[in-house]
Amino acid sequence: MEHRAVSQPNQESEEERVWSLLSEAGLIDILADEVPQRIREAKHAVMGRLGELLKLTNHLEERESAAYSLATLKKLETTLKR
Amino acid sequence: MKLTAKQAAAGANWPPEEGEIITFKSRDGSATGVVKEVRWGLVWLDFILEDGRVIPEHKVLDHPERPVWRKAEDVTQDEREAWERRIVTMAESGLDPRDQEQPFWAELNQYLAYTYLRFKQIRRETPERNGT
Repeated sequence: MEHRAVSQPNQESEEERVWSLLSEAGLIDILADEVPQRIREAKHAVMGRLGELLKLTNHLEERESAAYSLATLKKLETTLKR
Repeated sequence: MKLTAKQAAAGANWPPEEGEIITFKSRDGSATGVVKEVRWGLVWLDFILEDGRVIPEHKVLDHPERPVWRKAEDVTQDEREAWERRIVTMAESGLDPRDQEQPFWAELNQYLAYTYLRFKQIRRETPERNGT
């Protein structure tokens, strides 16, 4: 369980924030009928960040990674629609 | 989140090991299963049961504390890309992501949660400066 050590006790508020963020987005436990909606939700988060990154001259690695994630989400969206 | 006595008692023996029976929240209320493997996903810990179902730690009853999650930045590029290839392959093979507790649903859920956190959190926390 090597990853269990990464969070420290004083990160409680950070953990709560992360939990709330995912909970509000309905991404902790995706309901059967909500899969397409949740993919869109994740896609919007990536697109928002990608929009910011495209205005910057640095962060090239993150930009590439965001573009790759967006492509993956689009592929999933298209494949699951069939 | 206040711990129940059961959760506090479970702390020292967490997570359950292979062969142990866990009870978890399910569509029909609660269900049980035998643990085959405990594995970290992109965000949280998953319990893989002997019958193939995959149960996230936060759905297991009496887990000892608020589940500890990985930070998005701790996931390596190789791990993320392998995960992405795997879920696309699962989708293309016709698996139904609506089958809750099945591997595709579990992996897709973790991927969407991870992706959302990764890009949404950065936007909230790190003000960017153009060209610096």
